[in-house]
Amino acid sequence: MLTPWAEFDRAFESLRSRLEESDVNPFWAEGRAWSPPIGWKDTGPSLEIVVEVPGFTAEDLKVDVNREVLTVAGERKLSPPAGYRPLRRERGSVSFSRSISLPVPVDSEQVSASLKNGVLTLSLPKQAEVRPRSIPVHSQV
Amino acid sequence: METQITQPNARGRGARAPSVDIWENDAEFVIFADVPGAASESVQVEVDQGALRLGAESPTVRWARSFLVPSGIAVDQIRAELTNGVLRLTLPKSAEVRRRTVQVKAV
Repeated sequence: MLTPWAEFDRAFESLRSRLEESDVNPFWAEGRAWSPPIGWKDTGPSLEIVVEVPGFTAEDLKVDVNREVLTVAGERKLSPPAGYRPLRRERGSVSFSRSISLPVPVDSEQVSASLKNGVLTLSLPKQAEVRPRSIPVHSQV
Repeated sequence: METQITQPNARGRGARAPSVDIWENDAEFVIFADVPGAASESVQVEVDQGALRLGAESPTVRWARSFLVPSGIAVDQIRAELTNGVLRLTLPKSAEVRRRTVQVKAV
């Protein structure tokens, strides 16, 4: 039975096979929206946030923080090596900006950021009032 | 001479596959792989029966990806460099292959 969907199926099939034959991933175009993987953990006195930014230098990255929001932005420009033919391209030039609502207020004056082997590590000390306090337990004899 | 590096064909178990760019000229192939967090001591490159396996480790992530490489790679001259979490692998073509390529071009 001929239905309008048959036309869609054919169009999708044709598109799919063309994508598969292509060396270049079309979803990975230059300057595309890209977002680095981010992980974080709560160490108690501070929050530690790690951002994977391979190929970025310190100058390519911008970190803004206030009490409750952290914003990490960056741009990586890759220039193709001169005189080479591309066989496969998955990386490309990318830019991103990510804002994260912090679960607790942090002391923005004390935030530190370091970049090593393509990983940006941020340490955000919590505001004093939300830092955990250890309560000594006294045993009663 | 077929000079093709084909689709990556395998991933190590529990490992993440890095994104790669692959380039070629008459003299060599160059692979760029994003391996954030990996230290240079952890980088491993193995070539065995036409398969190139690339591995690297960070304290939290294991990176692994394999490629099928054409014969005619000078395996003993493969170079690896790590900069800002990007691994650059240079795979020179063997002298014999290069010579043949030049001949084809001259015709």
